[in-house]
Amino acid sequence: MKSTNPRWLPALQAGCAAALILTAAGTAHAQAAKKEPAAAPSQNQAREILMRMAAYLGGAAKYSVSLRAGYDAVQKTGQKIEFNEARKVTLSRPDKLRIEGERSDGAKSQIVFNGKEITLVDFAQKVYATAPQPGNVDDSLVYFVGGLGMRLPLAVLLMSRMPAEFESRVKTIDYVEKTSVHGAPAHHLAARADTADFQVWVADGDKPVPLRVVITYIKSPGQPQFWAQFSDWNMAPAVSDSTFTAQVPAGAQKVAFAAQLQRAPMSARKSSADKGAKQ
Amino acid sequence: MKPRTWRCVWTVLAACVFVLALVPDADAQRRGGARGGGGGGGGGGFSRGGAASGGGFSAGGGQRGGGAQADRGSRQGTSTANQGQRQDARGERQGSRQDSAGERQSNRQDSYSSNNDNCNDCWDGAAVAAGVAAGAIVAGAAASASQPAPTTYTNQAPQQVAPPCNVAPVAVSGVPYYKCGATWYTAGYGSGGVVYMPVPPPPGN
Repeated sequence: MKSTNPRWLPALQAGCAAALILTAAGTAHAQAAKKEPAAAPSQNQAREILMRMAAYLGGAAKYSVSLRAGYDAVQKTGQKIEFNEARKVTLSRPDKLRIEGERSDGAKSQIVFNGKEITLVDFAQKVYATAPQPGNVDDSLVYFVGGLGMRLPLAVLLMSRMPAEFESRVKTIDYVEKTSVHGAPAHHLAARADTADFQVWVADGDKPVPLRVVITYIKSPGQPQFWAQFSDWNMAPAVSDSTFTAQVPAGAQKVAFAAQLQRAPMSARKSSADKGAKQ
Repeated sequence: MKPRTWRCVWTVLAACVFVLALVPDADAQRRGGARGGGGGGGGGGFSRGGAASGGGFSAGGGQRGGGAQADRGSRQGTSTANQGQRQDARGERQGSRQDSAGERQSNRQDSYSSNNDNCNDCWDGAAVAAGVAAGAIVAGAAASASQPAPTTYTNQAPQQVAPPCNVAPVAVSGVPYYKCGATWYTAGYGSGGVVYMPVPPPPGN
């Protein structure tokens, strides 16, 4: 039986095979290169500066700092609205913290860890809530934010274990440039983590404190940003017990943290809803 | 062309004209609706929540939370506005609606917690991650107020400026409770401010 294959078919097959081999070789080479990325000097330098900042702040016995911050609130329509706030932070390790906050709408609040108890005061709504403090500042921050679901921006920067937090979160980091923030020389670093990119401007010199932070939530709709500008760093503030005493205004109502409230069983609420519907 | 064919052509043309006439109207309504929504959100109706509001170095479940939070803000605005118009008799229905919201939220909470089992570094993104309606609760944290809960990822609740229905509070041990239908509510503090949550009946009730 006569073959129907054209004469050029073997040549085409050989060409395809060669192309496949070359492509596979190229991919393998690229994968090998991906597996062993060599950190550029700028990346090493950036990581070293970030960790120096983390070690410096994480190891400080006490400090106070003021900050102005803002963030994008992405609306249902996709529109981004920026809200701002000012905060004054006073930290005294191992277990005391005071944060005075004022939102851009004027609502004031206070968060105090006195070593035994966590107190949150909302002056605008004239309420306060307390919870037993589980331990040092690190543990209390995780409990306050992760357990009670309260808002405390940049909580990681208040932790003594900040180096470990950054070590585990930062996937890549690079040095952007030497610059200045409000006249203070600073290193501008850009890091990437799983769910957020962040930039930090670290003061040059023997006090490597953060001067500015910008965080971009890369996996969130609209990729909103949070930013903060630090000022008035004081590594030896005068603190006393009264510094860490919450100022509950007269007439303020005590409420539980919502996360602490025992919730009505779903069945009870369903039956109540049914009753309500029948009535 | 046959008369029957002409009839078909005219029918199709008439249908097209009708559809085209409707389009601008629908479009206007859509735009009107959007304006209405925007208007409803104006004057302080914008949501303050979202993934970036927590200022964490992780977004936690923020991917969902951002949107949910925005939704919540807008839902909340509507709910609050509606509340003002509702009478006591409608409190029951609202209670039931809130229960449903709480249920949905509880489901969301469950999935959020399980998502975060794989995210040890997301604790600082947790506060804003789970956008929730009133009735948020952290799993396992309800046991006792005197014992700090273990590190559990939780959610937050939105600002709710009024109890779920228009009834006088019943003070039990100095804590105000609100009975809406057969459901009791009390105030708690979420990351967005005071919220009202369905709770078991207070002692003696």
